[in-house]
Amino acid sequence: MSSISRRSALRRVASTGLAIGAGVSLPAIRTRSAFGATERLTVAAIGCGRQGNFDLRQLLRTTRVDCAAICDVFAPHLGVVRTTNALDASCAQHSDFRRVLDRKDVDAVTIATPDHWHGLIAIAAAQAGKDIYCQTPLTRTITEGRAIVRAIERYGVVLQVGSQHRSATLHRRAIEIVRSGHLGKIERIETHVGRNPSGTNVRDTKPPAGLDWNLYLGPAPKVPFNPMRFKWNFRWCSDYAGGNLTDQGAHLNDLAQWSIGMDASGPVRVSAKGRYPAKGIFDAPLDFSVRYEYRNGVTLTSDDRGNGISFYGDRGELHVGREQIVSKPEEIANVSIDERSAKLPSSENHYLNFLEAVASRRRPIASVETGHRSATLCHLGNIAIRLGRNLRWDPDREEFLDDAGADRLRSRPMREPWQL
Amino acid sequence: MKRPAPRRSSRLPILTPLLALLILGSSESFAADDLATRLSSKDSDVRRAAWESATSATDTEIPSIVELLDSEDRNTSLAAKRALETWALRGSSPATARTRKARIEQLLVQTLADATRSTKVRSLTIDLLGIVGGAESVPTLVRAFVDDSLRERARRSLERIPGPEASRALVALLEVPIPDAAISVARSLGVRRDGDTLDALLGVASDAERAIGLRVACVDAACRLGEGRAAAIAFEVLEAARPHEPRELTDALLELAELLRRSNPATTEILCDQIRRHSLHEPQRLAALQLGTRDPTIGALPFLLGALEDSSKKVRELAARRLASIDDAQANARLLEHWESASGTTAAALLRALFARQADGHETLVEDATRSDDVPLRVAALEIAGVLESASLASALETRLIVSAKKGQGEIRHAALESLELRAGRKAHSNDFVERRAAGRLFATIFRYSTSNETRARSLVSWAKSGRDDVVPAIAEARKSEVLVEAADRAEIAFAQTLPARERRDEAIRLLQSTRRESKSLGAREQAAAALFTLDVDPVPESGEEGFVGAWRTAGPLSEAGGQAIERAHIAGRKDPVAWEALVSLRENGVVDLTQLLGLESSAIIYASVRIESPDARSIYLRTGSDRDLDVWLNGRKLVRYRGERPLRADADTVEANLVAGENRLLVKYSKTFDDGGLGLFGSSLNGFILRLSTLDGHPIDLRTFRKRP
Repeated sequence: MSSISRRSALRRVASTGLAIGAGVSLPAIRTRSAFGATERLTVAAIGCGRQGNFDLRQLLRTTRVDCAAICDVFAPHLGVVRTTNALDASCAQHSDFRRVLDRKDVDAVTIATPDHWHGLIAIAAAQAGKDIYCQTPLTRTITEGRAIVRAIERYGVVLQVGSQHRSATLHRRAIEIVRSGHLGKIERIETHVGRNPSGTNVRDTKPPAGLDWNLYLGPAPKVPFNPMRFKWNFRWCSDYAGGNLTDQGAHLNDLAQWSIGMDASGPVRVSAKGRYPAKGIFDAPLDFSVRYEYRNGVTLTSDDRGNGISFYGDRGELHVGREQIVSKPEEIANVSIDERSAKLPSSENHYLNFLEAVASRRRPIASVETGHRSATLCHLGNIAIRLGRNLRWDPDREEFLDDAGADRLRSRPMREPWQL
Repeated sequence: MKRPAPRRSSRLPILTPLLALLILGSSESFAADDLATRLSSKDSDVRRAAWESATSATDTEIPSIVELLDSEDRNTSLAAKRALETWALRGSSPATARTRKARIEQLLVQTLADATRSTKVRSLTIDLLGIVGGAESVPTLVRAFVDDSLRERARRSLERIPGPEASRALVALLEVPIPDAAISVARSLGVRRDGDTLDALLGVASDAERAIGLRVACVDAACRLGEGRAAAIAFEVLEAARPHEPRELTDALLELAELLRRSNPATTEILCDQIRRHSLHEPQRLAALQLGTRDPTIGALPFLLGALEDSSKKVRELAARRLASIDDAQANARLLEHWESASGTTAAALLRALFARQADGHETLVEDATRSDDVPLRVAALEIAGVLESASLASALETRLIVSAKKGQGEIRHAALESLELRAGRKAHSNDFVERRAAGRLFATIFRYSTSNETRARSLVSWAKSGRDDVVPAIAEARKSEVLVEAADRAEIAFAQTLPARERRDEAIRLLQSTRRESKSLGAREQAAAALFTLDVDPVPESGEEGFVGAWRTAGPLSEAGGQAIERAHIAGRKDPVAWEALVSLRENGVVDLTQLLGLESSAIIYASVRIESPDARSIYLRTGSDRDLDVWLNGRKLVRYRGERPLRADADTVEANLVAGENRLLVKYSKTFDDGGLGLFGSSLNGFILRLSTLDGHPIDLRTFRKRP
């Protein structure tokens, strides 16, 4: 057909009149390039230690994902991931995440690096148009969190935070019970996030073979290699993470805020106590307890005893461990939840929920905003411990009230050349 | 807490008390000595108590603490660091008197200014000034900036200190003749977002003599201040940076556009249009379009029409969607005017927009465009044809799609095949038998003309589901292809399943048993067995040369409570209280793979059952293996109980068991508790169990000699 006949068609159309009214339901335009329910997503894994390997494995198990690249500053990790997930030679490997983000064939990335890298990589990934599955805690600092939220919104990409409890049957049921009002008015929540190790003196050494130590440190201060800063241990060093208060707290405190509808907000008062290790590099506080107060009168206490979350209402209490729910009175644990308002958005599998969000371009179950707010809650606790004073927090403006010193701890200036 | 008795460390530098004595006089020196001594204690509780008490340390105690920072004893040095932090941070609370805070800052500044202090001491001091320092700290931090070993820390602390003094200092440091340091300073200014630095930043950014990296950093920082005049210089720098385009710069421009949106939406739209036109990066262009045309009005048409010519398909598609959402009847007329002279990707995007807007007569436009020789337009029309609902044009559109699938090349064929699949898929789900048969015809076209094995495989199975007999030769043909053989098996099963409804049950059973016996695909064998079960026919046994029991019926994942009912029924020999749902067969090495069934549940229980008919009563060995907890019952008696994680290997446990003549009931309970969360303790990604039978002298029992019915 020639363009002339197209014009004649145009004239026919023009003569029939044109109309579109408000409220007309518009059919979707099919976009072949979009990842749909039956299509496959190409991912790259950034950070391939234990958690990164786990995330990639779970995504591959959905059978809807291909892995185009794996990336880690520690080369031995790449070999393990390649073997564990039976990745063939077509899967590239990199040590620098920027090379991964340059790849046109990558639709989405998983980020499972030490925490101090999450913000920079997530923002760079958003700028490169990649969807993101980012491990908890989403951030190392409060200002970083808001910057990630803005980048995700700006570029319209999907970010799922690895708060897997949001997709776990047991925890979802607990939250639904709380939201349904079976415990009455919630007065108090306790989260037990586990102890931080006290540390020991270990001498600095040369970095192990295959490790790009400078890139591992990234925005954190330049220091010599020490095994107590590396791999699992990064959690206990404030240059890279916030100890169990942010590590496990990002999960349990996230549930706490979710249960009371505060997961897009935060507390208004924070008080805390804790003591720092007397030797070694670790500086995550020991014997800590943080008390948060919310505008609605609920208090949340987060401490280092055990692992679990408890809800106390004026009609009962509910305790959630890793494998079971216990309540007082007992029958509360077995109630059926009929209230629509208490029902949580559906998500039986955190990774599938991410893939569904990518396909639909809708918000995932653990959105960037909630991830930022949950991480912020944990950071507030660490700041209060460090400063040793009671703090007042404005969750709307994300500023401390009348405490300029505390405000400075909302961020950590980054080592060159890194900057948010 | 009781204060422990002071103890002097043998490693305590002798200089500390001497210095304190010389500087402070005798009475105060005791206090200093006391705190320093306790910080040097071998007892960690004493050290901790000491640093926690440092909040109230007097000015005279601080030099002693500072001395200890350089102690060779790492515990002492750490205690001194904690003490200094406690003193500075806790001593600078909002409740502290201003004079006291000033004194803390002053002491820290003095320590930093003392060039005889070690880098370690001065570094910590810089960090603390970043948190508690003010204007008084700035000159000393600027001097520290000159020192290579302190520069980075000094910059970071200046970045944190609020107020014009720190901003002015950083502006001055932009002139530092170390390129990377100057760039970092510019970035620090960006973080500070101090409006008073705008002119300085733009001055450097617009200076073509400066290094491009510094200009980019300055303009990035300037854009964060939300002043429109940064935009023009930003585009200048963007041009100067070609062919490389720093993403940070376009991102900063987007930030500027966002900031301006509150005060001046029109400027935002213009700026976003500029960003869309200038940026080399697709995500940035998309973001600009998104930001600039939120809630678009008719006034956004030029911007959107420009975006229809973007080289990125995603951008064009977004522009089309935005055009579709303009709530103004005039928009259709304007779009059609534009469409008349448009060609290529622009025309294609316009067609999408007209379709999305459901403009009157859009069906005719689409149908005509399916014959266009303008490839992008035709591709768009063919794509739309897949979803266009038009009773009067349905037949014509399908004909166009079939013709394009047969004769078209490249994108045209691809689009036609995809659309055919969409239309066929809808027909296949129709309640109308004739429509379902018609779907088969479309799937046949896709199978014949697609070059994608995946698509061909999918369409063959769908074709078979339509029950058309003309699929049989195609299945036979597909069997000859290595890549389609599995699809052929599945197609045969699908076809067989349509036969009973057409009074061809025997033919269905023959086909299914043949697939069950001969398919190399485990999935197909399982499907065939499952289909045979629905016809109440026993499938031929799963291969059992090595005695592995396959073709299990399974239930789960279940809770502990849900599972107990199954166990009780089994033990009592009662009817099963659950509907056995899935059928699982063997993987390599006899593994009954439950991985898919378990899904991603961290904790779950799965039951598996099978009935074995033994020709006689006999004693045998029951040999099991599993990667997690396993319980096995035979005819109501528990024979195996294993708890824990282990490698998934055959014959990990062996027990003697008695089979009765005739039917024997085996029940397996597999329990997976909390996932290891990472590599897996034993490096296997499979979850499941292995079960086989052997004679008492160790020979595997070939189950094909048994009649077996799960």
